Amino acid sequence: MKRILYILFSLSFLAACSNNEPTIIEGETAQGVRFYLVKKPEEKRVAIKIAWLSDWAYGEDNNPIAPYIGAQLLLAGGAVGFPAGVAGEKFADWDSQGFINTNSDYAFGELYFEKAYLSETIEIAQAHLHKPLFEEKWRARIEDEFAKKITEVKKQPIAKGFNVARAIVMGDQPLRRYLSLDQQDLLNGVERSDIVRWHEKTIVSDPHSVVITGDLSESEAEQAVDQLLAGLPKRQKSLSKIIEANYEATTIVLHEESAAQSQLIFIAAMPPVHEGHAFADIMLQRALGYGETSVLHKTVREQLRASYFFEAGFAQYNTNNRFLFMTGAVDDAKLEKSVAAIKAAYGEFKRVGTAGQLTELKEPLIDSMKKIKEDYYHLNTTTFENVLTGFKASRVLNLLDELNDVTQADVQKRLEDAFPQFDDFIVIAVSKNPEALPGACVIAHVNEVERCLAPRDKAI
Amino acid sequence: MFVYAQFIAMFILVLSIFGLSGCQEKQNPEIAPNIYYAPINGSNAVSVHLIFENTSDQPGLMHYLEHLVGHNIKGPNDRVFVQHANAWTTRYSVGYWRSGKPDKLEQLLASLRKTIEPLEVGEEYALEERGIVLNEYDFRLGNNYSAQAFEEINATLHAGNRIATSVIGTPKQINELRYDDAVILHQKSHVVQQAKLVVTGDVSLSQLRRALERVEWPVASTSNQFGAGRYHLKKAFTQRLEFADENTVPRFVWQKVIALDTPVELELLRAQTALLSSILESNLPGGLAGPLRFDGTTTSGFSFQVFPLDEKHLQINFSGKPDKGVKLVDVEAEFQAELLKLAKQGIPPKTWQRLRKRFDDYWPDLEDQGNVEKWYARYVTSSIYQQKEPKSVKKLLRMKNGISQEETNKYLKLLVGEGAQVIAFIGPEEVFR
Repeated sequence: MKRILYILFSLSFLAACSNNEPTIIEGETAQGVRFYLVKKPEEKRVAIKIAWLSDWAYGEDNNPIAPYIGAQLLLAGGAVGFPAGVAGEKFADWDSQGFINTNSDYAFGELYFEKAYLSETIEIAQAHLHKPLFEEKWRARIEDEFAKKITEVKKQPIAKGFNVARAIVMGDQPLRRYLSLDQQDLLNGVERSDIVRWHEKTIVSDPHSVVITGDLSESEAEQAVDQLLAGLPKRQKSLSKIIEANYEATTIVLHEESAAQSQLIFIAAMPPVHEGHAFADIMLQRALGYGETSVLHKTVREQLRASYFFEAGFAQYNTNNRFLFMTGAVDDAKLEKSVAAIKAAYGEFKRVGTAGQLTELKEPLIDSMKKIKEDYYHLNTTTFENVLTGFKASRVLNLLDELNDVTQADVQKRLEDAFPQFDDFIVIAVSKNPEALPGACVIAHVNEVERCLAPRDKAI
Repeated sequence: MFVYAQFIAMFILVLSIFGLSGCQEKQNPEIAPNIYYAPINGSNAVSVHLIFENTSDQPGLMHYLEHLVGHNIKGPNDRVFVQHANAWTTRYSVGYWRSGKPDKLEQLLASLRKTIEPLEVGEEYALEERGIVLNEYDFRLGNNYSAQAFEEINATLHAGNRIATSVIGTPKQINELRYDDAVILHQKSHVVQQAKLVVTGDVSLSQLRRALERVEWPVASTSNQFGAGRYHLKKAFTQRLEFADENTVPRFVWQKVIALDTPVELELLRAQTALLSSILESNLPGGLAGPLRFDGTTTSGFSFQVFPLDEKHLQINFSGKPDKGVKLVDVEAEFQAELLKLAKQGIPPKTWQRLRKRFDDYWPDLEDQGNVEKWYARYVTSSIYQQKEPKSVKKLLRMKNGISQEETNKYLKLLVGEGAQVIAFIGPEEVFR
């Protein structure tokens, strides 16, 4: 019996010693592409995420719609050797998935597949990146569908409100046009040549970041990355991505007859993500405007009884321009009272912060951080986000410790240093009542925003 | 001797693993009348749902009551032990949900127990909450013309059945909601005998029993019958609806209900119709994506779902966006012609086998015990929300063998047979015809 116990003990000891912890290796492929391999022992699936730098959204002469259509067309429109519709069925057979997305600063490629189908999946993905067909049937179809969808979305009061916010912050710079998509003539005017030019300039063989996760050796990962990017051109020139951002505090009412209720939006500048303090920011954002126990929910829904829900969050126009927003749809009759109540509640929040709540705010984040290492998808995505924002890839393995080390004093200091004063907020209401906010600058169309602002140094 | 000892050790280990899975297979999730339990070992979290059948025929009333009860059960210290809290109303149920750490189970249960206590929010609060529900309507449907159209399609298709009743109602119906009616509905529906409790997560059965005892959970005298889902298809009909709006993405919508000759186990029916849906959505011979989208230029995209309403009725939902320059009448004609053709030809064996292989992931891998537990916990919870009695893991996995090509073709033929159907055009009027 003793021997049995000894063996059982040995078995469990061996199990405890077997190292299934992920490790991160920085490598470089034969073609000179730097990448990170997140090695996850015994993982059957593989994830690859790539970011290509892009300055398309900043170019005066670039069609702002082209990246949106191009990204969809790359995958849906087929490639040499794989007519439209063929790759999708093969991917479904293998349980592989592929995506292309864009934002202001990057195009992103993602692949998820079983290791057993690595070469087949990468062969198809490479063909679509390198030799897409860009057939007219699919270009016209995707453009038409996109234009209809944007037309539908743009009529929402919340979309109109954030459109006004972009006009205040960025004037008429190309980045605003790329994000607002409010030039109706361009929605149905993307030429194939626009898409080909976007593709040639963006999908290149020297991407900004590559992260690959799975039970792969370094040489397997190197080969996979080189095979995926094979045949693509090298980037021709450096990128220029300058915008003038003006977060001038002002109050504007966009008069909108069809608005069922008023959409209230507050936005103010925040330091960019790459400056750090992510955990303190998340905890403060949750305390301010996430869920039923948040400051904003209690103020606007429970005390004022003016709204179904009112939330706070972070968003960014580009990598360097992040902002804090608070928004919700409120009763027209309670719009003015809502602004006053939010002003008082935010002021109190700036004063007391998360005092007494740190443990319960940390708890769900601790659970999330623990799960990152268990799941190949989360592991890959989190590592990728770290690399993209300029942090060390290995940070992902220590996020739990980093979170545990955050103190109440850290959170309070972040609130004082980085969160805006209430008077710094731009306030926008989209309402059928033009007199909803006394003293506000009232406009009937986003084009009228300039007259509500102090003269800018230069026309932007 | 060493080898012998190792063999014994391995035998004990293997036995214990089989013993555990054997327990789960035999275990009925109903551990006491109206109390359902599905463990997820090692999750370090517990979820509790208290679910009542939605028995109201008045549009929006149960949802309004859910708002009022949600306020009634809030406690000053919820923040300390509740990680997530929510409540929702569906066409079948109204449910209240709390989750937190396993050591907070008693507080979570005590919090939900308050749903069956008298409703005491007061007339003034209730009136204000009606305004909040109107805000919610505006948030979900007010500026969403398609969502409003689908409400009307649902009401027309299921006329005479309880699921035709709108969960949220129209603004006019919301304005007519009365606190007194909500109180009466609460007294009828939120009672011990009707309440079904679902506990999932990292707690043992004995821990759960102890927690129920400590909070003096009011256990029903007998298991309540599952009432919802008795669908009645009185006669076949075709109703055409048009929803014109210049800013809305155009869609051709076809929804239909058909009756089966003999009842089939719900979960088997769900699996068979999910397989059929994936075949019809595919770009393989026997699918619709080829003729409508890839080879043809009828739709820029579409979705096709077939799913059971109960053991005897299937619902079919098709929604297709027209290609550039194509009218909705042409989408309708092309779609109906192609579906009829497929129903006559049947699914090609190669396509069926290929899609059946993909379908292996529909059920969890039995070797992955953690995954099986999570999957089963989701199944038990969703079954109760649909007012359907959950089956054991063993019974569910046995259904794998009930899938056949013959059955798939049988259901495909039924899609073009007799039934109740609504055909709707949504979007700018000039695209209709």
